[in-house]
Amino acid sequence: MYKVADHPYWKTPFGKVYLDNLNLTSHGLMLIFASLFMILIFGLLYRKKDPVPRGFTNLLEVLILFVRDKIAIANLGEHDGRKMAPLFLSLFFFILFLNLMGLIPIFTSATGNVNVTAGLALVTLTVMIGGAIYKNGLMGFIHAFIPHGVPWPVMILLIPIEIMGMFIKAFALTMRLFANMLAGSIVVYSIIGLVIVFGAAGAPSLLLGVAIYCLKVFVAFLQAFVFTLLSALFINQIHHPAH
Amino acid sequence: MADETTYQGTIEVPADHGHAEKPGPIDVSGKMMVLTYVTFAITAIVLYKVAWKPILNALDKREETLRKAMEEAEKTRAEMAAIDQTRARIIEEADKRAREILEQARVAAVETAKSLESKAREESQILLENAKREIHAEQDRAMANLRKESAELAIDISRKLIKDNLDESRSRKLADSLINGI
Repeated sequence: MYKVADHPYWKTPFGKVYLDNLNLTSHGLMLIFASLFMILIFGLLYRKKDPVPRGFTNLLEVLILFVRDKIAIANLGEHDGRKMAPLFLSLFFFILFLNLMGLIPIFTSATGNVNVTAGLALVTLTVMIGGAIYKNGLMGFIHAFIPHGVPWPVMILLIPIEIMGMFIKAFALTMRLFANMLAGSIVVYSIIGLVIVFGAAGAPSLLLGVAIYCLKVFVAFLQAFVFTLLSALFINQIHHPAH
Repeated sequence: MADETTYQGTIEVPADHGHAEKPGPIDVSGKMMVLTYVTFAITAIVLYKVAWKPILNALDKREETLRKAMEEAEKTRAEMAAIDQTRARIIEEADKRAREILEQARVAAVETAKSLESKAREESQILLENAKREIHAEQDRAMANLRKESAELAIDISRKLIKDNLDESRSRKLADSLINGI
């Protein structure tokens, strides 16, 4: 159950490390670890000078190019996409690292915590609102909520819906990532729990556990992709209002 | 210290029960949200400086280099094709010229042969004419000589016959008139 919930301590093979003094929880610590891993991997291990990428750099480059071309540029256009690609790269890899860390025994998946995913969705929301105001001005941003060619009584209904829609989008991002990651942890926990409940008779369920584990690797990538893609989509929607 | 309300457990966990301050995954904690937000913001800014900017720039540069190299290759290929075409054209032209020259030479040779032949024929004609003329002249001269000889002979014979009857000039005149009358 350590994997599923947040704790005020970090469980390592050498015992529990209490984090209360640092005002942290295990998920908070995972966030910091993920951040450090990213800086370590992309800042130091990624060989930027190589004219032709090899090995690990090549693997990361595939992902970087995918995020840049298929998420940022595909949704925001050539100019904005290139400019905002770093944000989506950070978002994608941060979520990916947090997800994958949940699969490593000594770490837990912080994305299984609703507060973490809410924090990430807040980032998207900030870029949505901030970017729209920066691009279209405050009036332009407000105008985005006023649908054109609609009689004013309907507007009374539509404007709040439009405004709520923006927050609902962020909320949907929060819940999707959180629920997926938490569900994965719970399923693996439950299946392994069968062994504990039924003893040796439950051993075959370990195979199922391994299968689910493999699925979780896929889900880790998928959810990082979905979160980033939808962020790009929402950001584009509010930056370029249709009317 | 951990916030009491933050770590209130909402999911009862059979394997780990007994701990009072067990935070659940669904507890809403503003602190955690802010921590996530701040961690992400710092990470994003640091990575933008140390990773994304150089990596994306390097990628752009490499794409540019690749694009240029491919364009260059395409250009070179086009140039090669143009050169090939030019070469083929030059060869064809040279071939045509050679054929023309050969044809001209042949025509010239035929003409020369014809003219040489006609000239030779002309010359031989002239030679033939000359020869004929000379033969005629020779013949005329011979006939004149013969006439003179025969006339003199006749005069001698008649002188012998008449024996100084007539003087020489009168008889010559007579003989000439006789000769012309022949």
